Amino acid sequence: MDSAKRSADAATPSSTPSSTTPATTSSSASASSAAVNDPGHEGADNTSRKAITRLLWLIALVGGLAGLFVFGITRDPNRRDNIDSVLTGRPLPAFSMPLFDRYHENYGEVLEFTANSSTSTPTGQPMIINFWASWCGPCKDEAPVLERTHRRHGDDVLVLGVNTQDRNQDNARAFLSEYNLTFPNGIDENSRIGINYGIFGLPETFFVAADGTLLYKHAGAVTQAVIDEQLERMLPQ
Amino acid sequence: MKKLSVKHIVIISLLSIALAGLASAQDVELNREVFEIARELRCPTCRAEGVAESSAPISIEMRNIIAEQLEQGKSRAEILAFFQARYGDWILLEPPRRGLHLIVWIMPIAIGLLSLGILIFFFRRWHKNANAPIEADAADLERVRMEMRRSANMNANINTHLESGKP
Amino acid sequence: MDMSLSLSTLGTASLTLAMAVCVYAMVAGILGARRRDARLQTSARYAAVAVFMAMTTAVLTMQTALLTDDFSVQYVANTSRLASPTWVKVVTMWAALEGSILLWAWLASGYAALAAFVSPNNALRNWALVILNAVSAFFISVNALVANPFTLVPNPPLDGPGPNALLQNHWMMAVHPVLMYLGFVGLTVPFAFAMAALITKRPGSEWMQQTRAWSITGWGFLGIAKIAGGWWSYEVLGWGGYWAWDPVENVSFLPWLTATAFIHSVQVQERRRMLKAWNLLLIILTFALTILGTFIIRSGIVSSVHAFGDGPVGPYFLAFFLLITLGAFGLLAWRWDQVRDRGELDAIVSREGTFLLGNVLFLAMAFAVLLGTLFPLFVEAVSGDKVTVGAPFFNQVSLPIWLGLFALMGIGPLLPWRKANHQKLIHNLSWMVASAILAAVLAYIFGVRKVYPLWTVAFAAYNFASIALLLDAGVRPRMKATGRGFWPVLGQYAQESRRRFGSIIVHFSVIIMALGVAGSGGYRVDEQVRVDLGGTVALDGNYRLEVVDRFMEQTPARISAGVIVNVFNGNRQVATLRPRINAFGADQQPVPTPDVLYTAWQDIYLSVAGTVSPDQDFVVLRVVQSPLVAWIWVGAVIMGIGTVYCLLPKRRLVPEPARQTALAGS
Repeated sequence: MDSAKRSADAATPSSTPSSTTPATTSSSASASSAAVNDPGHEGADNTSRKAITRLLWLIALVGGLAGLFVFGITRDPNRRDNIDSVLTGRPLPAFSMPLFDRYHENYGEVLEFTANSSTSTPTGQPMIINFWASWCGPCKDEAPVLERTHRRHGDDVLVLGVNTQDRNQDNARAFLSEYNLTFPNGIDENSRIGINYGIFGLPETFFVAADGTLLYKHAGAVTQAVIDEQLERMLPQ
Repeated sequence: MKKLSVKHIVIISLLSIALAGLASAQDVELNREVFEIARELRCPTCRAEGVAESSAPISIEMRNIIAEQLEQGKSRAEILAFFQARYGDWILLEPPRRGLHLIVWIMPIAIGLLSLGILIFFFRRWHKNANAPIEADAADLERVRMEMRRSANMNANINTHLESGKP
Repeated sequence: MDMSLSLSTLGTASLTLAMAVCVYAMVAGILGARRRDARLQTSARYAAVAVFMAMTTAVLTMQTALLTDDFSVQYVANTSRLASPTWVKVVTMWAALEGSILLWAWLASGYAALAAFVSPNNALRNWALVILNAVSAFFISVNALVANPFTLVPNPPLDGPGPNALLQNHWMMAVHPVLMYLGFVGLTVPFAFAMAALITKRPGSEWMQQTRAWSITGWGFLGIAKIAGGWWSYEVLGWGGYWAWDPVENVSFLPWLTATAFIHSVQVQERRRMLKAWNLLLIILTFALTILGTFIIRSGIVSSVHAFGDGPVGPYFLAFFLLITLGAFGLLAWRWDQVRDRGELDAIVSREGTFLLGNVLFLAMAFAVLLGTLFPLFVEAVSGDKVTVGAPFFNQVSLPIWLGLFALMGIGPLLPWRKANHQKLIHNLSWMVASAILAAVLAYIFGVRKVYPLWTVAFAAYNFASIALLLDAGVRPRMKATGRGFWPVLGQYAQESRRRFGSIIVHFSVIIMALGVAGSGGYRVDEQVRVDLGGTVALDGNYRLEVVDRFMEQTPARISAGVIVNVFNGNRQVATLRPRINAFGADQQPVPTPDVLYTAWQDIYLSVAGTVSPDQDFVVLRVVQSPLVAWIWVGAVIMGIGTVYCLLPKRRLVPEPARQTALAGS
């Protein structure tokens, strides 16, 4: 046994001494197999080069994963679930929506939005359609912004609010009173209008051109900057 | 069964109010086909649930829409296309098989075939190892012969010792 | 006021102490190993126990805070509620992120302490302990440095929101998370020993043999935990299902897949001295996937129903994951050539051949599931598009792989090592394939027409035949040799070959569960029905529901309203079910609690849809009839029994003739 070990040692200069401890016969087997696979002295350099290649592959793979994950955690959490609307550039679906009582006097009981007609929007003007609910926090942030837009540009742009997914209308009415919204708001009773418009969260705001096609859908609370940017596109210069 | 007191009635009413919005929406009877189609759609307002599993108001409404359209005679493909036209590919629980999304369909098969290929490669090598005699070069053979001669000499010496009776 | 100050301080102090002692244990362990200093090594071992005691103090402090409603401790203020029953307060400890980390860290330190004193004294132990302490140190540091549950709240509120409603209404909350963490932490031990083997350059079978019990126990806990989680979802969520391919479910499934591959391929190393490097890779991969899973769950990068939400821990976990992956795989890559062995395979058709193929299949499934889970993130990173990868994708890629695994599971145990005898192989296969075809034909005649259920039935018969052949091969020769009857010989065989018998039980349980999945997945019937109070509705099969009345229930923690429904099979009433809706406090959404009738052949599952109100004389129920679902839960119990059986130590039996001679001689 001793002589076998000595010859194994002599034949495999590349194997480290600690791997040929007598306790594990398997390692002496691997020492002799190393003799079969790596005869000669270039074995040591060869294995180093192979090891470095393997390490480089590993670093590349882990680096790719790391890049993906860093992208994942540095995304803006508020925009994480947003998706662009598939309706962009296309005519929006028609709907007929009953309005809240307080708007009956000025706007009628039902607001009709029919696409594909000569005056596609109810007033022939571009529109800002905002979907909201009384329990939605960001909706409260954007309500004053929308009201201001209506007051300033109400002659050129129709601002329309759609109350959707609200559990009861009293909360919605309280919301309207609290923010004193003078632009027309209607009730989307069973979320059908929301589904037709591809709503996946609240609030969402649709910027509609005069011919009824969608210019841009904004998910999340809409800011003055966004409105100004879209108004430039919607209104004739 | 507890008797309903005023407090209980108030509480039940509060619960009912809380869910009143769902009441009318959920009075619909839905058959199994509705759920089978719903199992292919994603609930838009939920974090990661399907329309068949979720109890969100929008899922309830989507199930009702599916039921209506089935009654109108629409097919499964038409109903899925209806929602796809409004939400895009994202609403389908199965990723589409085109463009960049082909990766997720093809890669499992590709990796499976690749692993099988690697496995076959190793099988071949190990099979060869099993059948190949362990190679030794001339130096090793010479050493083995030396050792054998030496141990043969040692045995011979031991035998002569024993035979001669020397201690 | 004094009391509350000290609980928060005590908790933080315990965490800090645990952290410090853990770092000391690592340093002492490293120095003790390098200098071969026995005193330092012993010091490191005792330090591990000290860490566990400090963590136990922290856990007890948290429990005290929860049970005494101490809202000056931040975690209690954020997660607990005065009105919760005692058991809910106890489990609230792991109902949210910081507390769940506390539980994990405590269990990790416990395992490290146990390993310190149970492991045999050899060169591997020191480094393994260093690794175990490093992992404990990480989890303790998450609490101590990043997300401290014991932070003092200067103006404590009078009451808290309570845990998530879905976590309060079932006792499984007390069981499933603990089982999961026992699984994850249990698998850390073989990983630590594998790293020790790499560091000390002893890649032989030592590290594997020492950790066999740890590996199987961890694997067992993880598997049972997954199925328990599925049962919990079934009982609580209201849609009548148990597995939704949700991202969180997926990432905790991955380590189980690689661990299953691992516990099989270590047998190839034991018997044939092959795959040393591969086994090291597998166990490192298992641990890396565990950390990856916990990162994905707690970082918010993938949206999920189960996610703990995002917070500051995300980058911290990512850093640890990258450290582990680069460090462990890097070391393996560096030492690969010194670790790998020659490898000899006489024939592909052999036990080792099936194990290798099985490994490939398990890893392919793990890869496919990981790819599907991360794909939406990838697409968004590359093109900004949003895509969903849901159940239809995962079912399509995993079901064929499961069928392949069933095929291997049947033939594998029947094949000998090295090379199969072709005659015996043909003989065995004929029996198995014939059973499969017969079963499939019978099933087809009896109405099973869908593809996957048919294949599952076929493979079930194939595997039952395999088990029969295995037992026959084990029992018949002994019967001939000893002349005893079948049952005594079977008992003796079961006691002598615990591993084989245990694995037979486990494989049997897998088939039972597969049949349960095929039945409930392929043939479930979902309906939503509207029934007047006092009315009846007919269901599939011979079943009938009779809605009796509304009911109302109130406990300190919740208010519930529901319906009482009698279930009839034919003309016989078989059960009374009480599905209800619960409100757990004002801020939370009402959640339904379904009620289930479990029978051997199908479950009748009822959940309230819509409302239960006094002025409504009807009720809308969601009804789910799932065939064979109960087989999954029963199968899980059998798998647990089989796993325990595998771990029982072998009984040393003195052969009869020798005993007689010994007795005669004395």
